[in-house]
Amino acid sequence: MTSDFPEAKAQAAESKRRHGNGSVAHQIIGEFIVALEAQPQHADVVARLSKVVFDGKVSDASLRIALFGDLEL
Amino acid sequence: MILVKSISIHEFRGVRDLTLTPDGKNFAVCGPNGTGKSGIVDALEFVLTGNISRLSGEGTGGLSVKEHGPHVDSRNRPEDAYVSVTLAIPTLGKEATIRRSVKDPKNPKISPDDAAIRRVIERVGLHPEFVLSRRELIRYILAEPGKRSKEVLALLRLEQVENLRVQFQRIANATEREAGVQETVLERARAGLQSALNIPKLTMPALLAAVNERRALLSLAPLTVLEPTTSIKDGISTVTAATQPPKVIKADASAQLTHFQEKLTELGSGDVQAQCVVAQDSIAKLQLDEKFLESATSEEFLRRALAAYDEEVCPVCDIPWEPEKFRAHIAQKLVRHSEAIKQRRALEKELQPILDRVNDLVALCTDVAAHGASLKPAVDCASILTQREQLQTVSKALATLLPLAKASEVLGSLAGEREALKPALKQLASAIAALPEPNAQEAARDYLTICQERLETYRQASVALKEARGKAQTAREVFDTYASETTKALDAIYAQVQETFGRLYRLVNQDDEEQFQARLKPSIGKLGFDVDFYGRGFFPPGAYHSEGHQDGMGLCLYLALMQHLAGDAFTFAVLDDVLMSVDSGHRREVSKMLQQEFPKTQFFLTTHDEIWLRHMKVVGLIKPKGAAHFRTWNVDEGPTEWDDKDVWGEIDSFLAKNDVRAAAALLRNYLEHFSKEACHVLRAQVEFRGDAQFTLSDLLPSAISRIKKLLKEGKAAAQSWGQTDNFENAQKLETAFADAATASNAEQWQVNAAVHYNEWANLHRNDFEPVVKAFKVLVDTFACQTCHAVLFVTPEQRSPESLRCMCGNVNVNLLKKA
Repeated sequence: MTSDFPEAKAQAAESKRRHGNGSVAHQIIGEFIVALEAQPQHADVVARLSKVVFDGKVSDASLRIALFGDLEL
Repeated sequence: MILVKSISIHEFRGVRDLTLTPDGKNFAVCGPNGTGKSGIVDALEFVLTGNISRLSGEGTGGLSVKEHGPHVDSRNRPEDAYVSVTLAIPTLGKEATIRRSVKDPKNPKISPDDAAIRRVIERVGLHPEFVLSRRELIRYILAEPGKRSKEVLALLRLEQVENLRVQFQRIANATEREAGVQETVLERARAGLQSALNIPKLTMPALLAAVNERRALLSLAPLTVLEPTTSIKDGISTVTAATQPPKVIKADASAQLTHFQEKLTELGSGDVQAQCVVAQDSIAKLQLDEKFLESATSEEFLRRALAAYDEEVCPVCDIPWEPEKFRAHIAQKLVRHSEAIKQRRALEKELQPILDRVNDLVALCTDVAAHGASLKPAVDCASILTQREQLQTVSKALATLLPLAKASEVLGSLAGEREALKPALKQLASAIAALPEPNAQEAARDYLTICQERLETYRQASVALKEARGKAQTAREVFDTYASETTKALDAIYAQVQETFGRLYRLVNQDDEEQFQARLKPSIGKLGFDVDFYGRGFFPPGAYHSEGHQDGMGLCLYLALMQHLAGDAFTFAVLDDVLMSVDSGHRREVSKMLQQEFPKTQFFLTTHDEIWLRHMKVVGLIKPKGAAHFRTWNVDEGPTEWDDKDVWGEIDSFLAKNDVRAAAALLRNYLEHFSKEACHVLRAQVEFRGDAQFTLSDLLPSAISRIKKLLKEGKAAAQSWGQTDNFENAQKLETAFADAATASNAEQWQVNAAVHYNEWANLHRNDFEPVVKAFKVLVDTFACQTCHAVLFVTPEQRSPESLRCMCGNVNVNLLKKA
């Protein structure tokens, strides 16, 4: 089982961060994450976005927080 | 990825207790409408994914798997409603069983429950697109480009990609609008600052000069630079510690009052009134546009529903929805109103200058009324506050726009003198004029105090605008990146799909559309789809092609999409009644295409058309035992099958009941159907009948005669090539056919009435049984004993070159050595 090894675990986590559950939809969204990562000015944004875009329940509020970094009150 | 070996359904949908054993091969469920075929499809989807699309998709409000998954008599016992399936997993070389109950659909029992098997099953659960219904075919073939994109994405379960795009775009647009609002706020703050400074142009040197002139009067050090934290009244508190500044600063109050009066006058001026008249004309036009009115009202309603949605329950009907599905559902509905949205945006743009003017006046009313309250004695500004309320009503009506009549009415209310304000304005002017004139130092102090306040407002507005612009830029760049990457990915998918789609469609329609081409043209949020119509150009599929052809296109597009998406993992698909309306001339080709192009895919097909089932069997898509034939359905028993799964079993069952008449009728009907198929694939000559009512005696003797002739030609060809083995094989087939034909007496029908099939119904059971047996042998002789497909001639046109079966076990060359 690969998950017994920390390296494999980290690899799996990284893969999930970039490609979600591996479905076609998530693979396409993952390509977007990779492209955004290549834009240094969005380093913070991409780190936050990759945590929410694969969630099927992503909302306007969670996307705004991911894009702008804080909750607008 | 998976092949279904068997499925058992218990107290689920319309089924009480049923087991089917496809054994990993193609399987058909045939039966009249209402015999329970869809229940089988639901069961397959449920056991593999935990969901039933029929109970959870669009237009299924009020339905749920939990409540409506069990058989109606078990609706209060969801634990009794379960589906169990045994799967083969070729990639793992393993078999597994899933048992899923309606009571706990998210936790299926998997046996053996090892990690690799669970991963495969979870993956299948992520691809519920393996089920295709006819409704879905039509949805994306005939849809408009915007809707088609959504339908295709939904078919591929790619809605999440589209939903994210819509959300990113919405945020990008909203942040740009927010930045626009901030620009107006900054512009207003800038004008306020410039007015307080009383300088012709707001520049740094002019500001410092004006400020330092007043600071000098107060013996304060001049400012050399204005930094973000610089206070232009720095030091003023120590100078004037003993004196409190008055509540109302005469110069400022006077300037604001003047500004207010000017703005009021402008509002009633010809220019603004002309703007209002033009806007009213635009509104009047839209008021006559019923389509717009209906669309705009619905659009507004949908937007409110979206805003009021609490991530759990629809605010309108109180039905629970998953957020993604709810948003996708609303977004799909909003697409219908895109034209109305465009018209609305144009009107909003026209109204914006009037709205800005009204909002400015609202702010000025507040400021001026505040001065009135601070004066001693206070001036009654009730009429100004009333005016503010009226203007706020105008602002709200113009911002919301609907109802249009209200928007038009408030525009009309902006005209005319505001007599009611005059007494208050006069009193205010007198009271402000009566304020003592400040001395030079007091005036300088007042000046610096007001200017500092305005500067702070300006600074805050600047910061807010910078932030808003930053957000707008980030949102736009992220959206652009998203749109570009997803479009690129979808373009690549569609390019491949287009090629595969065209190839599959040509295979099905090679008789008349050999040159067929298709164009899938994706753009952001849209998917154009044009198809070639007999070389006359490219048109939408619904333009000229028949409905049958359109259904064929739907199937080919689905298969092309699935082949692209799943590749080798496309091992299982459920085609729920999708073959029904493919035009009859191409059904055989569809069956052949499925078999030839998707040899590794197990198709589970439902149809209410027995001819379709026979087509599938004739070409070998379905093996003789690979079908369930539902006869009836009732709520107590669920679907009931024929006693046997093929016609011979059914005939035997009639004979067992001594019902020779029924057995004879079925044998005759079946042989007529079979003979038609055999004549077709063997290219036999049949006497033409204008009414196309061919009888068994027209068909079967011709088929027998044709195959005998072909086998004779095959023997001659083998001899010419010196191929002894081939000769002997053809000889064996010839002998088998001769024996079977003789035993059936079919060739004697024209000359011997005593053996004619018309007499079968009058035979005794013992006399009819050998007849049945003889014809079963004869029919079997027409088919390959390995793949069970009826032997056919290739090519389908021009000179025959071979007599063969699907698997190649029978392949009789008909071409002699030159």
